[in-house]
Amino acid sequence: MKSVRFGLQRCVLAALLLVLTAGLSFGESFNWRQFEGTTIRGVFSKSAFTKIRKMHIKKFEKLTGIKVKDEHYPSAPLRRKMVMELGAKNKSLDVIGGMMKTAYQYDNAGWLEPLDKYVNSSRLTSPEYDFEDFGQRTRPIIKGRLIGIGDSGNPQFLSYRKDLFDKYNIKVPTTWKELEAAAKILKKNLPKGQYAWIARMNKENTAVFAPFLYSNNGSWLDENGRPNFNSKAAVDAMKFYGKMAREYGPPGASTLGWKEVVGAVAQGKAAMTVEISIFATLVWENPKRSKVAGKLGYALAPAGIPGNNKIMLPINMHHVSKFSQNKEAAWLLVQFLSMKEQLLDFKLRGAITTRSSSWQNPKWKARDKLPELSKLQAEGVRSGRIGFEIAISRFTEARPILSRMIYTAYEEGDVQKAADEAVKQIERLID
Amino acid sequence: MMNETSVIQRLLDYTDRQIRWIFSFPAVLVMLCLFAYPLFQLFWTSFTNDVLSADAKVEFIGLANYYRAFTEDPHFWRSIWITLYFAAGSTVGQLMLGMVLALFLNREFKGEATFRMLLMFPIIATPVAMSLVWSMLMNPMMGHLNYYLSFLGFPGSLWGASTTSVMPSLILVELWHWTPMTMLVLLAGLKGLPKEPFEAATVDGASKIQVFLKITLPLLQPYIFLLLLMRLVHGLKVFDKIFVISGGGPNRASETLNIMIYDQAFSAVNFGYASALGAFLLLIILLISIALFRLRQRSWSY
Repeated sequence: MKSVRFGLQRCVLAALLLVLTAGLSFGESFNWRQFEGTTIRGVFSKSAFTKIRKMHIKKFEKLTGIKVKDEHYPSAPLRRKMVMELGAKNKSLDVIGGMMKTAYQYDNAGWLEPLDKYVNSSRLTSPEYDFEDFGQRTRPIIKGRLIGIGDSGNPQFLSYRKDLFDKYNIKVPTTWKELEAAAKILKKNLPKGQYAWIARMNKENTAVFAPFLYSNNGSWLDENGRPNFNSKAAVDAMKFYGKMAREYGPPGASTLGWKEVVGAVAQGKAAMTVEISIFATLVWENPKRSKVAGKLGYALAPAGIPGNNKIMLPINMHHVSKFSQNKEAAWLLVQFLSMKEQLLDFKLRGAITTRSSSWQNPKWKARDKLPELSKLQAEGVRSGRIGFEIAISRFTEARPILSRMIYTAYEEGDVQKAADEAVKQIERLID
Repeated sequence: MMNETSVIQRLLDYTDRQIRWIFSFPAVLVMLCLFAYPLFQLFWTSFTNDVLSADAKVEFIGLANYYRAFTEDPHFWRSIWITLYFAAGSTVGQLMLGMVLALFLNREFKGEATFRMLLMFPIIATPVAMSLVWSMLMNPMMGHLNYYLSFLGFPGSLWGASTTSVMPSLILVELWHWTPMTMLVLLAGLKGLPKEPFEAATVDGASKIQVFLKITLPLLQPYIFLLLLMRLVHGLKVFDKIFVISGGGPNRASETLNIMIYDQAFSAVNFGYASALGAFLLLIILLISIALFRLRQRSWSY
């Protein structure tokens, strides 16, 4: 009797222990230290949030025991550097910072590791990762494959001087007609040295021209992937974009890139622009850096066809190099940097993150000083278009061709002829 | 013993005879690594379709890249013209201004040394930083140049933002940067000229212009030739100023061959085509250098 009872007690104890340890192992099912001792190299895009990213990398190193050699470059030099390194099939490169416009080029050249199998692997992806938390529209997918993880975006909106609009009784424009009407009134009333409108017209003009193109039902490529931006809709968009710059913008538009636009708006020299909205958060609404803090309003970029307003959403993302010798460890870094906690960190500092949870977080809601803008940005992340530049593999060669075509509109040249010629050049690149 | 000695002696004699090759070997090796190999690689790549793709095979395509440049690329000949325009314009400008300044400084006056030192500042400026400053000065909307011009009652210019004024603006920056060096070389030449021909000319009643044209210029010929060669070759290869100030725009109006090579290599990733353009630029520089040397041999002598 005694021995039976003792045996029963032992069984119960063993069962209890089993349940406890099973519970523990379930809670610790993801092993962050599975590549401990590995060294990986990540090359990232430098931005206003680089300091936080470096902190996250240090956290990652502590958590995983993986050593990260991180480098940070501004986006244009980063693109050139990546072309050289990936072109040379550099095995020392593991994690790459990029954007959608270069993703097509990199992917077509066979430089990127598809990430689907990593995201779907319970061995390599933490159960807390929650991939579904990323906005549907923010996932960089090319030919059905996930080729990167987008962690932040930069939806483009119309920014306008609320105070001037109130002063001259101008309605917030929602269409091109209304935009031009607003510009006319401002041009008539603004003092010399201040302009009604400003927008990029240098080599980067394709990015900001995109909302004009798409809102007029134009496009870069048709459903067969052939260039069709010489359509009437696209040509009209170019003519309007060029006209706005020529008649209502400052002189010397060819020198205007994002830096000049940001500076001009911050100094109160330009009353309206369409630009990526992170500039509002980081510069324009910061009284230490801008003369117009608190004076700006935000709205959807005016549309060519009424009601057809479009939001363009440039996405910053990370890839894993096809030539990496430590792809799985590299995936751990990409994963970690885009976890909820890290992206919330970015969100609290003003970044426009791609995770829905960051936007819902009460800490963020308590800090939000620009609710009007945040609402638009959230809508941008939800419904914006991430592939808004021409989606061909030789994007870097195509962009200057398109940029010059748009510039022809600014110079009142034959835009249709320029567009037809550009289509031929792009077709040669595609072929 | 006798055999060993004679072998060692023969070895020593051989080394003695070949000593010039032995001492020059390290320099030759460096030249081969830094010059000959890259040159070979340039020409080799120009005959291929290299686009840095991991999947596409690099194939030998013969002269196809050169054919494309000469017959299919609409901007190629324009870029040659722009390159020559910049090189010739900046070289002639530097020589003329440099000569004026050298003649001015070739005398003794109070503050001459200070004035000369101040004129040297542009040479010591780092090209990229200096170009950035110029691009800000030339900004049509917010730049200082237009502001000062308006102060003086003159209309502003679009400077580098217009297809018509971009090249003169770039040449202006180049003149600002390198005229002091040209001036320095010509001044050194002037100071080293013999006094007797000038004294004889003065005695014969020659005017200042006659002295300058008939005596000063011919005597300065070696310096002028040196500057012509150096500045022309530099002008053909210039990259930093154009890249920073105009980027080759607007609308490719300032896209020299060097800028085009850069765009083709690092934006378009057409390494084969970029190499062909690079090889062609090298050829242009070589031909111009040879032509100048031939001209030097046949030119006026004294």
